[in-house]
Amino acid sequence: MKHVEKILLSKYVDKEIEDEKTKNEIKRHLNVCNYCMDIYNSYININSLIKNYDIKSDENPYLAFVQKKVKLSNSMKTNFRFSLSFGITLALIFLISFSLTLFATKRNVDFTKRVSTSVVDMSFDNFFSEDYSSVVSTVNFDK
Amino acid sequence: MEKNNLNDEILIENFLKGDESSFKIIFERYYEKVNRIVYSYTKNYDDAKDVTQEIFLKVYESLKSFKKKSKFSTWIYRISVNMSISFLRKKSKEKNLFSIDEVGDIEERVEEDEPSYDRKLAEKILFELPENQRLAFILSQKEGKRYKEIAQILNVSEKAVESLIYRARENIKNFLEKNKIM
Repeated sequence: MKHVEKILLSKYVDKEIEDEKTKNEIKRHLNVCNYCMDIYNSYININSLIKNYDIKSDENPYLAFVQKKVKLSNSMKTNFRFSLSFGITLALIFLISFSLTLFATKRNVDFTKRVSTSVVDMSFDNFFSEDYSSVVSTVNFDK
Repeated sequence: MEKNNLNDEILIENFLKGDESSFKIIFERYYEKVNRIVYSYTKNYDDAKDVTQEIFLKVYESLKSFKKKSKFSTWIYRISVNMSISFLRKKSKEKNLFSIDEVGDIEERVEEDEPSYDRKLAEKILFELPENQRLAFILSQKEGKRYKEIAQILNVSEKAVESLIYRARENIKNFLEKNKIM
């Protein structure tokens, strides 16, 4: 007699066999085969044993959940506030330093302008000063 | 109709409309189931409790993104499996850094209530199994899930679930015979 495959028996125990014909064949076979019946019974016993698997339940898990949720939302609010104030401070520092740099650059440009203008003035003054005039006068333009 | 009798989908809709009490019902409906799944990974009661709370926080935050492509129970079990696995990964990294943590675990276990013989035996048998076999078997026998749904939760094929459950049964049978329990 050909026995039922164990994997098929396992599916049969879980009522996972959809094909009616296969189901009936297994059922008929179990009535006449002690070997397969023993395996079937052992699978059923294992199921009832595993049904005892459980873990200790908390007194009020929902309360703990709500507390955790509130704590999380508070810390998120604090983080948001911190990030916001940090952001504002950074923006202010940037603005101040930017305006200072702009001011300083403008002043530098004015100063350079003034310096360069006075240097040019001085050069012209010097060029047409007596010393240069004497040099110019010595140059022979006729050549 | 009493709120407790409403199905998950209606409760979710109500929650998304602003009814917080609907979430409480979902929480109470699934807390123990999720806790059992997580415990089958962590093997530690306190860790399981913490991870379960984290899972519900995640569910609370992301219910809006639940697309109803699968059943809610499949979705929440899938989150549970993923978060348990990441918790174990994180813990194993930490364990490598602080191996002294082991002592704390042992002390915590002593403080727990003594479970009944049957419960202890069931736990011992299940923890003898490889992780995937254990979870597939718990989902099938304890949570009453069909193979198709287990396949979605574990992200494997239905054939693979069939084989996982069969091998779990055979391993348990061998364990019981070896220890002359059955």
